[in-house]
Amino acid sequence: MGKSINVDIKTSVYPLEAIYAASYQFIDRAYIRLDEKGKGTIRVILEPKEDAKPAAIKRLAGDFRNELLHHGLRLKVSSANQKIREYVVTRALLSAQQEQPSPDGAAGTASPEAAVDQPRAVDVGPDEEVGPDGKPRPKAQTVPGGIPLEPNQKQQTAEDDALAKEIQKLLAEIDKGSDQEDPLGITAPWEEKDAKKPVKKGDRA
Amino acid sequence: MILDFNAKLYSKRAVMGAVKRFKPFGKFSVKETKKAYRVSIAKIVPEHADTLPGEFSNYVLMSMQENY
Repeated sequence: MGKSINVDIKTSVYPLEAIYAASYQFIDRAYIRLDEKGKGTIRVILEPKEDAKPAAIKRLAGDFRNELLHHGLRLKVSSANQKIREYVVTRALLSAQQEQPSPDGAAGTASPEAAVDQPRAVDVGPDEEVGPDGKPRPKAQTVPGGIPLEPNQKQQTAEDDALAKEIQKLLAEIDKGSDQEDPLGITAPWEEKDAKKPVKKGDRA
Repeated sequence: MILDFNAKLYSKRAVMGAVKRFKPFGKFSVKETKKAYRVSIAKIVPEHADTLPGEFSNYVLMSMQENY
């Protein structure tokens, strides 16, 4: 084996996943092996595939450290945003669920908890329900399945409805527009266009 | 030629998978110790003698990506 350079990395600074990820990026440039150097330190042994001068080998190690930094940061950001990502995905799934009709057609029903806790003797209006404290409260809007909507979810439902209407409107415009004339002749096939042009001297046949 | 793969950093599956793939290029034997998987390579095909150990190591590392 030729000349190699060691890069020692503390796992307290860079997670092992970042070390692996950085190593994968260099497989085309170097032969790479990982080893433990003491507790909490990983040694990455980089051997350039091509014969390299000391300066080039040093540069390889520097590039590796930069790649390590990139992956370390990527993992850190990913970890910090995990809850937001999960929230966005959950909201997207809930939005999709809202569009589906409930099996029993009972949209807008109260939550199961409210139904269990509801005392029959309390007088409630048509738009009210009995809350967990036994007092009347405005009826909770729910999605099919009886899950009550949060206030921001109610807003999201209204926004989704508005968006759906806008999409329908745009589709109607597109359908209407397909019947219009083609002033620039974009949709006309070339045979039709060529047939209309007069043939000049010197032009190719 | 002997290559040691730290058992904490490499999986047995990755090492054995690489051995299977590189069999045509040499005679491989694997010994498992507490700390490492020791791969011995003998009778390496001459035209690949320079590159085989490095390529083998890289292959094991790449296999870890699938396992990780």
